[in-house]
Amino acid sequence: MVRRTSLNTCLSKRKLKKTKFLGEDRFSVLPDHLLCRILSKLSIKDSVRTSVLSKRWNYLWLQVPVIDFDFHDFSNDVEFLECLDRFVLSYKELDLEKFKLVYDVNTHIQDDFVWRISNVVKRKVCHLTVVNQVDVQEDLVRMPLSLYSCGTLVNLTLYCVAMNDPMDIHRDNPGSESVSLPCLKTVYLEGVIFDDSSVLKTFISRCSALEDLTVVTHFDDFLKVVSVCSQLLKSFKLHSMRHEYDYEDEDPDAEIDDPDVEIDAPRLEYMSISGYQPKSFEILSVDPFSKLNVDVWFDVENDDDTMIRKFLIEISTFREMIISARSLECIHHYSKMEPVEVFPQFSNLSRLDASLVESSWEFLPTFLGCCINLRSLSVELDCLPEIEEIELSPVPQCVLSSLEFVKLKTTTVADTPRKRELVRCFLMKNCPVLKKLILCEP
Amino acid sequence: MSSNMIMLKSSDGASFEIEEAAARKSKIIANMIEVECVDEDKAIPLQNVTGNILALVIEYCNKHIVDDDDDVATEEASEEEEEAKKKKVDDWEAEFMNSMSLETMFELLLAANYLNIKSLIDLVCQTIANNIKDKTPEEVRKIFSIENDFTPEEEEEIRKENAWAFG
Repeated sequence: MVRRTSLNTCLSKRKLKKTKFLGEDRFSVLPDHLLCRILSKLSIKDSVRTSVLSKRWNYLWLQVPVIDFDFHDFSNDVEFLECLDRFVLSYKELDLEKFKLVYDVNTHIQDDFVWRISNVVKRKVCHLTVVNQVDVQEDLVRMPLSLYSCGTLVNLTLYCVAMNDPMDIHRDNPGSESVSLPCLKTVYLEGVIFDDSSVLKTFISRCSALEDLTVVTHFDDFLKVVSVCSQLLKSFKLHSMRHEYDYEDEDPDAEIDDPDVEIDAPRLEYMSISGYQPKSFEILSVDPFSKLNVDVWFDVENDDDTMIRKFLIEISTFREMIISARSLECIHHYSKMEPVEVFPQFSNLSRLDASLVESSWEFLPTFLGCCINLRSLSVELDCLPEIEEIELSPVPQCVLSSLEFVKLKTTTVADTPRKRELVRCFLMKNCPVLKKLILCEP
Repeated sequence: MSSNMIMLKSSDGASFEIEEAAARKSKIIANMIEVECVDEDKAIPLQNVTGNILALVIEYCNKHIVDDDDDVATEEASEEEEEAKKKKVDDWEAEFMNSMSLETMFELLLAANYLNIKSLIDLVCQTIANNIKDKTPEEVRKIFSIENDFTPEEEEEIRKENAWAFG
């Protein structure tokens, strides 16, 4: 969303001089709405400062269609909230395109917050971002129920706020739809607290136009299940921050499980699950030709083996896959307990990008043996093991018949060219359709 | 692949030939093509845009239509390649904007607005905004020759109202 530009266009002195000589207000040729477009590109501070330029500019900053309110631009609650209220209330009839709020007050008053956001919603906002930095443990910052019926909303980004049960609307106004967000296409939810796991499920399933969903779970959002049932969803990203939190101070033995996952999205083209250790992972439907970026692992020692087997079967339908070292290690571990024959065939898989730890290197050929139609393989590992020669028997089917592209990247400087040479020789000898081989040095 | 060419005519009578795909960057022209079925040998008259500005608009559209094609073609492009490509576009845009005077920049913004080319409106607004960013009101007035029509009392009042922004 943040457009990075490398524009450092300072006007040359020559041009400035020329302008000065002409002595005519450059902006006089532009209508107010274009001046507001220019103000939309400025920080709130720079924008407010233009109010003093001339009478024409006095109230222009209040009429911008795009604004970014960051608490950190202000020195205290009063300044921040006064400015926010002035903006929200001054031109109620003007539509808002983008509204971003970074909220971090010392004293949070829930009713006032709801009132402010409701006013933004009323101004037909299309892109809404609310980043809450008030400590949620002490004080829940809740979004207003009216958000669920914002007919213009296209893009919603929420960070560490609480969401009510949309069915509450129903209770207040019997007969009305609990969620009506007909334009909402992109949703990003991080550390969002739902009153109940079913609230997230209801919310997602009622966003009829949703195409792009990202959920980032925090240790203190208490989410139990991420259930995604969506007809048009094309992209789904799920990431857990729960394992990045330092539990040492609290309970070093604390078990961290990520929310269970259920996915029913027949049009899904891309799915990314990262940093994720669930008890249960269930894919009911996705497009069989979709891409998967997977960094999921299970507690191999304690969890039921059937969960891993089921997971393998579910991910075996994807066409392209990026798999993390942790995931491969978990599958490797599982392969030691189960005969490889129970592994599913990854017959759709044409492109595989795998990260490896050295110990999983020996497992790679076994895994490749399941990928019978693989055309492109990219492997990144910390270090090639100390071996004299690569001997594989049997050589995986895909190497013999379909593999066209191989890229091997090692990340340790100490790796010798000799070991890379081994890989090259092996592939030259055994891979007849190979078109391109890239061996990257660190 | 051959593509349709269409003719555009500026307010001062200059004619320009442009690929249809590039011209479609303008929502106004795209609509004309859809609805009015543009006559192949008849130029579309653009009454609010002069020849020298239209030339800049066309340069911008041509540059960006190529970039859009690239996006489709290189499906397997890596992140680094994407980054490099984005940087190339950014550099081109920076150079493009840097080469024109303030006066031209404002005319280009009006033309982009009239032709409804959103990405060009964004680019010009960002460039003008960069000249306001981190500057005092006095500096901004000087750069853009804005006449201060407030009395000193009035100005003081506004500054007080939003003291946090002027600190």
